[in-house]
Amino acid sequence: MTTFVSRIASSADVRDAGLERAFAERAAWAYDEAYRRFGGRLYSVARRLLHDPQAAADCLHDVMLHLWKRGDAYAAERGSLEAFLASCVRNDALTRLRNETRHAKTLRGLPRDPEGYELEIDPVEESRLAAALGKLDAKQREVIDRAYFGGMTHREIAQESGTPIGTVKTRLAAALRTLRASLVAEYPND
Amino acid sequence: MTEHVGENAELYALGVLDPQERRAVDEHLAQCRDCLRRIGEAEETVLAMDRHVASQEPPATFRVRERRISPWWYAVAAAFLIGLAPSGWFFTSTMVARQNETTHGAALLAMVHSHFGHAQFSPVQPGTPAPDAKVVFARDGSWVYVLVAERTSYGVRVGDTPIGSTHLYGSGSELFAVRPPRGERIVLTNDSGAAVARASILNQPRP
Repeated sequence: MTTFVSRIASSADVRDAGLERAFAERAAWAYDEAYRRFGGRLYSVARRLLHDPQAAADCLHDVMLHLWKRGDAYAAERGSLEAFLASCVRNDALTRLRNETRHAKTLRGLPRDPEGYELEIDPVEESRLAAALGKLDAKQREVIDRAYFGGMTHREIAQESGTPIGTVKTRLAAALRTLRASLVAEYPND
Repeated sequence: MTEHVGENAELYALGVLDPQERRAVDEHLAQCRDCLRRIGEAEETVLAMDRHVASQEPPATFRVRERRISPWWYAVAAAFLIGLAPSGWFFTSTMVARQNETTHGAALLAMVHSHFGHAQFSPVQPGTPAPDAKVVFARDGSWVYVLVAERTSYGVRVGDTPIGSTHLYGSGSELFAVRPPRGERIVLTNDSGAAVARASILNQPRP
């Protein structure tokens, strides 16, 4: 029987308006503080995709440097700084993977925790994610598995599954909206 | 205004868009608050998914500072460091890096702007071989720069606290770390984690 585990709000859920404003204004201390506060989460995002600790460290480093040099990518209206940074790291890590042709054929069907790259799992959060994924229909679950766990692009998913790309996009978007209802903290910061 | 992002908001957050598609979304976000918020919501959802993996200990150091550096300073700094050719760089922002060319740049800048000392590593066990290595350190404890004259990576600790590993570079390896933990002793460790060499670094209270 699937058990839904309510998410307990943590300090990570509390948005720091001062930090977000300072980061958007490109204050050096805000970049340092964002790294101090969110670096562990960002590194885990990179490691889940890239596996190799050094590659993940390079990814994290390059993303922070790029954001510092660019200076205008984040606005507090978008959402939490942590979510924005995680998205940047995720996109950079996936780009690195896709640019390496030797990974192209191994991305599909990657086990969640490949031997030699053990990542510590949070059992409460994993249970929560499993429960949320259980609410997706089979087709939504398939595309989310390929996209999120397999690192595939929407075109690759369409090609491999023989599904029109528009259908894949619609299923992915709907799946994520369904997951949002289950996963996003019950203590939103407005 | 460019077209609203629609479902691409969720796809963007999942990382499944092509680079061109992602750029198009980024361009639109600069003009549209509604789409900006939709992207943000999608990103929060994917972050919530990410939490099933526990946070990992990130790389030890990251600092951002703004500097305006005249090339003349590079020549001065290079004169203090025999064997390190001037890079010829000058830039308006610095980032402390863990490896490659930027380590030298960051270390040079730090030395130019600091009072620093240096110490040779000696073996933990007298009479045993130790790596030919030196540590350069800020007197105020704000950074350390470990240089090893052999192409071997060593773990680095300040006291009992690991701060990273030296990265292979050229014929040696090195580590530049900003704001290391307080301590008077820096230690090199081998692959097994055993201490093989140590050096004394005398820190003064940070301002």
